[in-house]
Order: sequence, then structure tokens, then C-alpha cells
Amino acid sequence: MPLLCAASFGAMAQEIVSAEVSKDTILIGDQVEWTSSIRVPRGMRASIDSMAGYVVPGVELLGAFTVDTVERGRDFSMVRTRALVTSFDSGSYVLPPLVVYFDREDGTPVDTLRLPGVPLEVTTVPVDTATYQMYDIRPQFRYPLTFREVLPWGLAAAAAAAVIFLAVKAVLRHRRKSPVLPGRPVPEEPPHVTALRELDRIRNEKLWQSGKQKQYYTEITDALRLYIERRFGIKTIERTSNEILTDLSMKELRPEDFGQLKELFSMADLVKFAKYTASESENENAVPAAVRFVNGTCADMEEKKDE
Amino acid sequence: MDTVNIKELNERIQKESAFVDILSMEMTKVIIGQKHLVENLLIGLLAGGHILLEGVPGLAKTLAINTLASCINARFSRIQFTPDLLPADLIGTMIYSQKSEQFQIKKGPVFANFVLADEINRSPAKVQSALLEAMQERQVTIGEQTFKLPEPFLVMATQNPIEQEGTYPLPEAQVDRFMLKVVVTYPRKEEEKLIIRMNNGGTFPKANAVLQPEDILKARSVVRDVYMDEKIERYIVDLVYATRTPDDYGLKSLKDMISYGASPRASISLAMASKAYAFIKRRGYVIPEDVRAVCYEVLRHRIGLTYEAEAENITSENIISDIINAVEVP
Repeated sequence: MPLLCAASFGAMAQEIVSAEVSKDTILIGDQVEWTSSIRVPRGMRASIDSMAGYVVPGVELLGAFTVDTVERGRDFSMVRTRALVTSFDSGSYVLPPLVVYFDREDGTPVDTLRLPGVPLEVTTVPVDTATYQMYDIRPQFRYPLTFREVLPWGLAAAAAAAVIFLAVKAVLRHRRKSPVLPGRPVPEEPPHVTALRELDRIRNEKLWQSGKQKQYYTEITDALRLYIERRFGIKTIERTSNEILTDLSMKELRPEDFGQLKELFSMADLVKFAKYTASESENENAVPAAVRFVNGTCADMEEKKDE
Repeated sequence: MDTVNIKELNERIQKESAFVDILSMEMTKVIIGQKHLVENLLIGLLAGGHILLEGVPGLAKTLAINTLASCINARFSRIQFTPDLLPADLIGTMIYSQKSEQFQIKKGPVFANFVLADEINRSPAKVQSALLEAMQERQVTIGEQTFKLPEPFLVMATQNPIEQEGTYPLPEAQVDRFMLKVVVTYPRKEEEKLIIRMNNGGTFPKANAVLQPEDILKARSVVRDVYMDEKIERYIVDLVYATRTPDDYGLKSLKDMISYGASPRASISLAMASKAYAFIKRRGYVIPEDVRAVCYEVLRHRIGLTYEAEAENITSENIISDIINAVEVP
């Protein structure tokens, strides 16, 4: 479709000034301006063929031609057309001649003119094959960390440090509040003291007098079991009476102490497991027998005997 | 709360349990050593529980059961379990009589006071379940008729822990029906010397029948009367519960070793076996020792082991030992 360059003039005119490119030699991929200047007599109008895509094979037109009236005289107007071209293939080219149509204002064709072709040289990047060296593909580029990226981590670390600091401070304050007194640690109560106190408590509770005979013997044997466990280092809580007696028989016990315990355990087993009703004298004798066993086997007594 | 006269009960037990010594003596005439086996056979007999014996061949398992049956003047039958055995071979079947032109019932060997199921794991599940059903129900149905089994009815089964190829291991539910699982071990050197001497002598002693089936039934009723205190009941429940929830008894390490714990049937069996043991010891009441004495036999086949336990070579006996050592004795 012809591009119109409007001008009005009554007379015939065929003045063509020039067609040129801004650079006649370009590097491959560079852009060059292809211009033409046309003198249009008054009363006439000029138009050129619009082009699209490739101007010639190897040279591309970038966008459409722009037409601009650059000068307006008494008898003519100067019109300039402009387009950008480029090439991605090296070589010598001749841009084709632009065809300009002159018409009267009523549309009657007057003349057709051809602008001369314009030479264009496209060069490529020279490669020095003598010193050519191949390089590997560049690795992924790592951008340096930004402040925004680092900020959450920094805040978290600061919070953790603050928590640790407060915890340590609290522990230190707690320690300061509970002062450790200098001196030896409080010694553990000897097993016979605990056992005797427990047996005394059982006696004072008067369990068998109130009909709780089973509980009475259970508590006595429990106190003795605990005493034996601590005194002789024998496991008693998960052992039966006979097993405890068997283990005790390995220890150096006086026969009267062993016999006393055996009798007490068998009496307790009868009461606990056979619903046996012990006599009053048997009940009265139970705690004293247990006390005698404890007194006879406690470590203090043995030390006294040694002395 | 009724009071128990322990003196009276003890005297009664002393009197009623006198046969235990005679029976034991008669058995030891034939069985050298294996005191543990004989004792457990008596427990099963008195508690009315079936017994599973496990041990390698040649440990007098079959002989022990045979001898026990001989000591009691009762009907005894032995069934050798084989892969081709059928339930009808065990419980009986209906046979057509040409003479009467009717079907007649032919009772199987299970109709006896003592049934020895030799190598029970050699027969398929259908035969095993036929026997185990009879054990549980104490009755057998042939055709449309149901027959009560004679009393006392005691099944003593043996199984071999080796040569597992071509065997049908008893499923857990079936094993649970045996009150006791007794593991038979090798005799001591002195005992083995005696066994050789006895066999080489050519005069193998025979056990005499010293008891009637009625004596056993009477003894069983006395065993039921043996007093069990609430403390002992609680101890039994604790032991059984420890197999289910070892965590609660400070046995966290066992949690991953036990896939399933003992059933309530185990609690019942443990109580009955403890009473029978107290009876054998000629006591009228149960003490924790009695429970501990029968604990392994009652629980060993009722605790399921995990793969982890098997990988670490942990047996059910190890687990029972840990439980016994952790549960507080009353």
C-alpha cells in the first residue's frame, strides 16, 4: 500500500534529492537508518511502497517507514522518509531502490520515480584462530546475600541468645537463693533406726487390738523387709519369705536371730495368706521379736560386739 | 467374711494328699530323675488342666505320661499324630452296619481318661482343633449325637522342638487351652547312669495302679478348697498384667519384646495350678512361693514374642523371670 506524502502543487515535478543509509558498513546485528529525501512540487503528493520483513534476503526492516515534511517552500516541500534496518548475516547487500509515486491532488497519477539502490556492508566479529581458547560454561552466578535475607536469621539468633542468657541468669539467681552450707552432707539414717521407729509406730497404732491383724503382720514384715534390704543389701520387695531367708542364710547371722525371723515370717505368712487367727500372746510377741531381730543384727551392735 | 480354720484345713489336706507321695513313689520307680516333669504332671492331674510337654526325643516324655496312666486305674489311649490323621480317627465316626442296616457310632480313642497325643504338631490343624475342642468342651459330637467325655479327662500332648519340617505348629489360641507347658530337660549324669543300668539289667520296673479315677476326682474337689487369699489373687493378677503392660511395673525394656500378653485364662490357670502345688506340698493355703513355682509352666506358652525379642534371643522364660523379679510380693 503506498505511503502518502501530502503536498499540493499544480505543476509537474520530479525532484529527488537522495537515498542513503546512516552507515554503509555495520557490525552484524547493528542497526542502520535508511533515509530518503524527496522534493515534492506544490499541488502534488508523493507516496512510496511500504515494506515489511526482509528488505532483501539477509537485511530486515525494523518497523515501518516514517514520513516527515522537513521543509515547506513556495513551490515545493521537502519530505524525508526514515526506516531502521539490520542484518544478522555478514555480507555485502544493496538495499532495493525505493519507488516514489507522484499524483495530483485529485488522484491522477503523474509520475513514478525510482530511487537508486544503497549499498550496505555487514561485517562480523573477527576470530583469531591462532590464539583461540575455549572456556567452560560459566557456573550459576551467586548473588551476594542481601540484608533483607539475613535479617530474620539474625533476629532468631538474637532471640535464642536472649533466652539462654535469661535461663542462665535464673539458674544462677536460684542457686544464690539456696545457699549450700559448708560442711559434710547430712548422713542417711541408719536402717535399724528407721526400722525401730517404724516398729514403734506399728505397736502404738494398736492394730491387732482393733481387729486388723492382717495389716498388723503385713506392716511388721514390710518394716523388716525394708530393714533387711538396706542392712544386708538383699532384694526383698520382690522376694518371698523363703527366698529372703535363703539369701539371709548366706550371711553371718546368729542362729537365734535367724530362727526368730523365720518364725516371725512363717507366722506372718499364715496370717496374711491363710486367714490364721494368731493368739493374743503371739500378737503381743510379734513386734518385740522384730525389735530383737533388728537390735541383734544392726551394724552398731556388731561393732560393739567386735569391740 | 467367713473364717477359715487353717488347722482343720491343713489336717484335711494332710489326710487327702497322702496319695501324692504314693503316686510319686510309683512313678519314680519307672521315671529316673525328671522330678520337675513328674511334679507338673501331678499339678495338671489335680488342677484338671491339660499338659503340653516339649522336649527333644528320648527324654521319657511319653514314658512319663504312660506311667502316670498306669498308676491310675483308668482308661488310657495313645494317639500318634501323623500328617494323614483325620478327625474321625480321633473322635470316632458313624459306621454302617449291614446286620442292623443302620449307622452305628464307633467312638474314637479320645474317649478315655488319659489321652496321650504324641507329637501333636505332626497333624494338620483340623485334627488338632478336633482334639482341642474336646479338651475345652469335654464333650464330642459324632453325627447328631453328643457324648460327654469320661471324668477325669486329661490330655497330655507332646511336641518336639526340633525337626520342624513338615510340622503344623499349634496356633496361639490352641496352645492357650493347655494349662501347663512343661519343658523337659536332660537328666543329670548320675540319673543317666541309673537309666543305663536299669535298661541294661533287662528288668524294667512296671508301675502299679495305686489310684482309682474317683480318687482323682475327690482330690480335685479338695484342691478347689485350698484357701487363696485376696493378696495372692492380686499377686497373680499383677503377674499376668505385667505381661500385658510391662511399663506399669517398671519394665519398659519388655514393652518391645512382648507382642501379646497372657489371657484371663492364664490367671485362672495360674490360680488353679498354685492351689494344686500347695496341695502337693500338703498345705491348705496358697503362698507366693506356690505361684512362683508354677508361673513358668503356666505363662511360657501364653506370652507372644516380637521379632525384636527373637532377634535378640530373648525367650518367654527370660521375660517371666524379669516379671517375677519386678512384681512386688505380698
